[in-house]
Amino acid sequence: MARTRSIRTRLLLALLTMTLLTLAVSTLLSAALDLRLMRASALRDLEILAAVVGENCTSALVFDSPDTAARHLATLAAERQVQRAELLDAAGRRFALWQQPAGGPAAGPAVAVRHELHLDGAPLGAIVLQARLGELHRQVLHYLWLSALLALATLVVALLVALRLQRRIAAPLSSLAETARQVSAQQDLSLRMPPHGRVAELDDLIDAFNSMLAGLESREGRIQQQAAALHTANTKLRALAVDLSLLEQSEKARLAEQLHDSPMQKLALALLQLENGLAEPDAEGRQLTDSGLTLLREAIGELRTLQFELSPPVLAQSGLPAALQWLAKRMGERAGLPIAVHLPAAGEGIDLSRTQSVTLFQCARELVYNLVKHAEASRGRIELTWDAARVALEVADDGVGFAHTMDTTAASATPHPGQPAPVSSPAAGGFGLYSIRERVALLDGRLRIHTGPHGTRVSIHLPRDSGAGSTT
Amino acid sequence: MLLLALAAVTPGARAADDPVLGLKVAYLYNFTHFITWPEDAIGSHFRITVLGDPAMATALQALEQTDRQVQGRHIRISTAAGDAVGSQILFIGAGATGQLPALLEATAARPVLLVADTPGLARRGVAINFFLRRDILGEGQRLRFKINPDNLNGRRLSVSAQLYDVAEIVR
Repeated sequence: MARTRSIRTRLLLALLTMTLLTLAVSTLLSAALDLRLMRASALRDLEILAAVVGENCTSALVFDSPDTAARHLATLAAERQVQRAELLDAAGRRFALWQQPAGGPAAGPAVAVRHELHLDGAPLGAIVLQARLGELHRQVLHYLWLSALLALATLVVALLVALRLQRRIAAPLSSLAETARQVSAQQDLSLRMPPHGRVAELDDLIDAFNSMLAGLESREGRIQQQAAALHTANTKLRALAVDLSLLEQSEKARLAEQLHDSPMQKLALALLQLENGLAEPDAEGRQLTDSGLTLLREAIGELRTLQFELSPPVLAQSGLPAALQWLAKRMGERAGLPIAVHLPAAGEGIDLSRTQSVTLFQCARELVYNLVKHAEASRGRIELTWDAARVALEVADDGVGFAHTMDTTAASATPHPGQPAPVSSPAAGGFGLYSIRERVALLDGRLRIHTGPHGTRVSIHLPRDSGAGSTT
Repeated sequence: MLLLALAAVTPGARAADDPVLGLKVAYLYNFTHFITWPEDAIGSHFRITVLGDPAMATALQALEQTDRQVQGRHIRISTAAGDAVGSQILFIGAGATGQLPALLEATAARPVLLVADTPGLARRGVAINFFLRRDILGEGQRLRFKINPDNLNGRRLSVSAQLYDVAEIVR
């Protein structure tokens, strides 16, 4: 497992390693090159020395004076690296010889140079110098010492530069980490890191960090908005539950009122007449019994009608189109009001879920009930249409209209321009339209109401894929 | 070495028979490598006049047959006394030592190198005088020469220090 080190330590190590490697390589290369150059220079010096001494020995060779030659060779004693000098004649025989006295430097690699001597273009002889380059090695050693001192000085400078550089790089990173800690501790996504301004990569990192914070802040804002919307929806659901409870109570009250107004009255009167009729076994008693039985039959019929209105069997047995026809006929006959039903041509079957069928029927019943009860219309119309995407129900009349125009969807209710706000609660518009709106909204549908002094047209549009459940 | 030098400069049969004579011819020629004559003093040829030593003259005449040049001129050998004044080298053999005063007077202050092989002449006005010295290590003798720098003064001859190195200096 890699050992964790701070960026300061890594920077320092990297810089020092790089500096040391650079110094070592450059020193070695420079030393090798200098050694080569110094060796070449020493050899060149030896060649020059051989040429000078050899030329000085020319007359000794020409005039056959080995003593003179030896005296010239002896002048090489001052050249400490020269160990031996030999003067050869044109035939290659030794003419004179000189050797460095004992005690001279014997260290270093041995080298030899030979210089040919000529006179008037003809070979005259040669001089051979043998030397040891110990002096050269001493110079290289001095050079290495100087290089080591230079390396030490460079290391000190590199250390100072590394410390300065690591401050420049590590400090902003530490500041970035501190900012991240503050963001985490304070849960404050509005914090930002100022740009560094001197190191491009750090600026890129800071920009990325700030962009990340901005993204998180934006996402948190959206989450808060969604939470608020969810809270609103929950509140609305709670209100809806209350409203539905009220609506249920209202429906119960209306049902109780209907039961009380007719079937219950008739049942009570039938009971009274049957008791009286059975108590007097004469013609009057029989008449009372027959009247009681008639009342009993009427009450049963009204109860059946009420049952049909609440949940007509035809809806479950024959589907929504047949149920709408039954509703129009039943309500029209009761109110003495012609209510036409427009359906698609026979054969165009519709495949609705039970939820959709029941909801549309209940809405139609509510609208027809309103039409009969409040519209003061001379006629009414129910129209059911559908296509692949939606099913539409429209109930219209030529009555006096009412005070509101409503166009609402499952998500919103938008008043028409110049019109009052839409009905949004039982208190504002009665349970009828409010109940319809809420039911339609539950199925992601849309309710649109157009009303005026010449009539009312209420249309309901449901998506075909809404309200999963059994089909009719 | 000696034989090689001799063969190089004295192809003649007489020089081969007399090694010392051959060495003298060789040395005489080799002096021209270490002495420079003024250009205006040299004519169309580099002249060497030999007086009082016919054998030397004969041996030197071999140089005329070679392509050897001194300061860009071919070598001419003369044995006429009248050519002494116009020569660049005047060799005074043993047979001409009696003419030394007259020759000195005639060539005074002229760029003429006076060479001899008679003992004592270096102190009598000759610039270079050959002599033989026994070799310390060997059994034979070596041909050496003496130089009297005083006798070179005023002759406008430029003499290399290397020539002094191998010579015996006399005054």
